[in-house]
Amino acid sequence: MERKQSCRKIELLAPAGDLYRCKTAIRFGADAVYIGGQQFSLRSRASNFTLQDIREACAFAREYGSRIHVTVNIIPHEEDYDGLAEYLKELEDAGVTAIIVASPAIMDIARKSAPGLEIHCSTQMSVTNAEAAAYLSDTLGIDRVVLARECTMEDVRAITASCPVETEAFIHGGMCVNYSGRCTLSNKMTLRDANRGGCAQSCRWYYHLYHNEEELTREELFTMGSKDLCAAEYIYDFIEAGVSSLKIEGRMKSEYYVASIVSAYRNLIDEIEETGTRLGEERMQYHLRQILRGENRQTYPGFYPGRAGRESLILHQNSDLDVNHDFLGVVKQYRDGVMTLECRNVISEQEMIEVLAPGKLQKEFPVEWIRDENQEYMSSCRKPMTRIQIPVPFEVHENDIIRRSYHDRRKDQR
Amino acid sequence: MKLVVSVNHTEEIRPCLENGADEVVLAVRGHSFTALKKTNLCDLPDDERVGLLVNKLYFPAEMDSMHKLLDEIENRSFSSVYFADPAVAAYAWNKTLCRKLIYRPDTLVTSSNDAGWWMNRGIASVTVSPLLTLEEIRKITGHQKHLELIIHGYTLVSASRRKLVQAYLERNVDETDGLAIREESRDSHMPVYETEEGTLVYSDQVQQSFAYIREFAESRVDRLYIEGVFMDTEELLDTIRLYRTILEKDHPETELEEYKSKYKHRNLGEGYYGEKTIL
Repeated sequence: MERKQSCRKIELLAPAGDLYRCKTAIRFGADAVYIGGQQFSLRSRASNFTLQDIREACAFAREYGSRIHVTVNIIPHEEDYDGLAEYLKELEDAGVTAIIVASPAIMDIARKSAPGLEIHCSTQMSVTNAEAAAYLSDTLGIDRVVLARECTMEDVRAITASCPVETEAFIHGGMCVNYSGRCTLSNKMTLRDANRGGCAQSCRWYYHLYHNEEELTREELFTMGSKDLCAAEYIYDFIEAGVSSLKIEGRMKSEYYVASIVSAYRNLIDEIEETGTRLGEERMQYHLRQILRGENRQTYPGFYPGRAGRESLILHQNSDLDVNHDFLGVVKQYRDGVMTLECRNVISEQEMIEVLAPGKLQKEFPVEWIRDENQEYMSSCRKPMTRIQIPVPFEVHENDIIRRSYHDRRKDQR
Repeated sequence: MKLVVSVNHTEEIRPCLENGADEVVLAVRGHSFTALKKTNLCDLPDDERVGLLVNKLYFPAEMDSMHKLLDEIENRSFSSVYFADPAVAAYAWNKTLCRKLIYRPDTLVTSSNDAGWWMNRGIASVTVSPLLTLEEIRKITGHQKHLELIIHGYTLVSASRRKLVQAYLERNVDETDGLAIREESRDSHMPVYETEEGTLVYSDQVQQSFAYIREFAESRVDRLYIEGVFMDTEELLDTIRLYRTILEKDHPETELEEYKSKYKHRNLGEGYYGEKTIL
């Protein structure tokens, strides 16, 4: 099989649930962002992009040399094809680079009605070998395959080495415990169709376990919830293997998640590409700390080190053991050494905070004072979305993110 | 139209055929992901009424084994080969085997367009997702010929590559039969099966299609499939006989009532025929 050559550097592909988060992802370093339209997409509740939004996202992406991919990844029923060809043509005209698809019929329609769109085969199709990818390439002309999350790094290497199209691999975010696209637990428990965006995540519910009449359940009930993926330690391996795109999951996630995770992976990828080597332990730990600051769930490296077992599952009632309240707010304005901040979590005088800004090192400083928009001073602000003013010892910009400093957070935890 | 049934053991082939099945399907050891008992290919009889379940997803290290298996199947006489991995279709392309393939991706075929795309690859049939309403089945089968419908048995709810029960219990699970889970706020049990391939969860309900089987048979459907998972031989034969009776007899009420009474411990239901899943 002849491998399709790509001149691009490895792509960091970020999720976005709306236009604001899409722009955030691009500003913080995503090479491409995948979004969902209001039709034909899974995660339907995360799909807030009208065609006008998609056009705006594409225009914004172009300014930054970034790209927009649109999920068209429902498993379609008979009625789901109405308006599909026209919609795909609209995406093409809007400047969308690629669509992510799980249905051969939709791929076929896309190839005919919007030939300018790249077709990326969704992970819903669970491609686990290069021959399957080659078949889909030969018969449908796909441009890229998103590998099944069950692949080990050895599998990723082997598939990518002989795959005639680009490969894309998940590196961070939520993991289905079951093969994607083949789980009907949500349908069964709630009548919500996982394959059309309605997954109720019933795998994370609690179950009694039996062997015939005997209950095997222990103190904690049986659950099938997976920890989130964090494959930061494998980025060098993905690059070395020739993978084209590294994907972050999470179209439902917040602007802070998008900014902090994208920024952290951007820095990690850039450092590996600049040095051309696997990072040492100290640098790797630094990047891992940065990545995990945006994460509220326990993580594991997926199947990449080998087949996932007990360590990959959340086997207790509280899956959010590490919930943090680091995200303090978004900068709305900066003038004469004072920023106006839209609050997200409690922020108090004297605590150390830091600025997360695209492409810049994080800078820390203490909160000397806080005042509200009426110029009334306050010792802390406890109301999310309130606009407050705080002096800053250096220039910041609109949409920069303010979070608790790493060192202050550690002090709180002690 | 064929009445097809999956079984656990080769000894069940003959009785099933004698009691009204047109084809019997067995799971091939090392190549199938199902709660059915697995059989080595060499132990299966050459028979144009025997089909093979080869529905696992193959990883790179397993490709040679898949090629070898398909080469062996190509040289023998079986009626059908169920697959889920497109790599199987790729390897079978241009071989006689291609015309025996049945695409069975569990949930991924929910429209006639997708079914049609696969049929145009020259394969024999496509199994439609069991998630469809009766109305949707009518539409799909109205637009696409030669499809297969799963009409009876426990339907697969989820398939994981992780050994979930073993992970939870922190020990090897030897008792692969008889495992079940019950959601904490509900009463019904969902059978669970753990294999080297991972963990399978099946529906708490046994899908039945007694009221619709004649309509299906008169449509353009090629195959009606009885899933033999978790059934012993007696139940399997009773089920085949009942469907055959309904297909051939105008008033099968007596046989139907006897069956329902004998298997009242089974949670018989109509699956998604009357319940559309939504977003």
